[in-house]
Amino acid sequence: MIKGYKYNGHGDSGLFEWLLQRVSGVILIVVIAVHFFSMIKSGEWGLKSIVLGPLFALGIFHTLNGFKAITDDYVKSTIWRAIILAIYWIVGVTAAVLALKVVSGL
Amino acid sequence: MVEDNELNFTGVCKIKYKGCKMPRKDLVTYPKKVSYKKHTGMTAWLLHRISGVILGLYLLLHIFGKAGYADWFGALTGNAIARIIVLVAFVYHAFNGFRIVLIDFSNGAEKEVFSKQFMVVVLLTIVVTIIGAIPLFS
Repeated sequence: MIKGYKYNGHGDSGLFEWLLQRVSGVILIVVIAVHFFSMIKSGEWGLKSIVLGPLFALGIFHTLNGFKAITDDYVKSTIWRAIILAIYWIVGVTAAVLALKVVSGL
Repeated sequence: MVEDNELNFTGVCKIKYKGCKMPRKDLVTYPKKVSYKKHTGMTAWLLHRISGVILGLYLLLHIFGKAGYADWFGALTGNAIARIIVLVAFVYHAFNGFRIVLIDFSNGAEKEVFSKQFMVVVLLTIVVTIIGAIPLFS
């Protein structure tokens, strides 16, 4: 454990992504468990907006931020990193729009 | 001692004079090739990454499938085996993610608890997967 760590305000430090990855992960455990076990039964709770909303929003962020971390581990080229990040953004925005379509269609 | 502004960020001296030595001992440097040792943390990290990729792809394809753009995916994941794989991936990723939070914010990185916590994660993964799999097959 790092004691006495203080955020110094660097915009590009990755601290916000790191923190949001952990917060979203903990929330996702709850909503995915509710969705999964509810869908096995009647699906009543699993299809509510209060479950699907955070599941899609935080799920897409958590997924693509995780993919970005993997990319940063294995891709050295700055240009390729930017290209792959742009692809992640396109996939993420598309998935978010489709998720809204799915939720609104329920 | 060399001032920071006289060095670039790799620790290489930009100017040459008597006090500037290569390589600098006070900077953390990494070898070009890192050889990984077999370690509990390595196993946990690898499984976390594999399960994360499975879950990530599942979530995205699930959304595309439900929106009507990947109907084949619903058929592919409709059987119990595929659901079990996703369940195992989710349960392990969740518990190991919680372990990572403990490493970051609590005493999870200490030697005496590190391996024990990983074993707890594995045990919980097995137990919860069995509990979750019962309704899938019943």
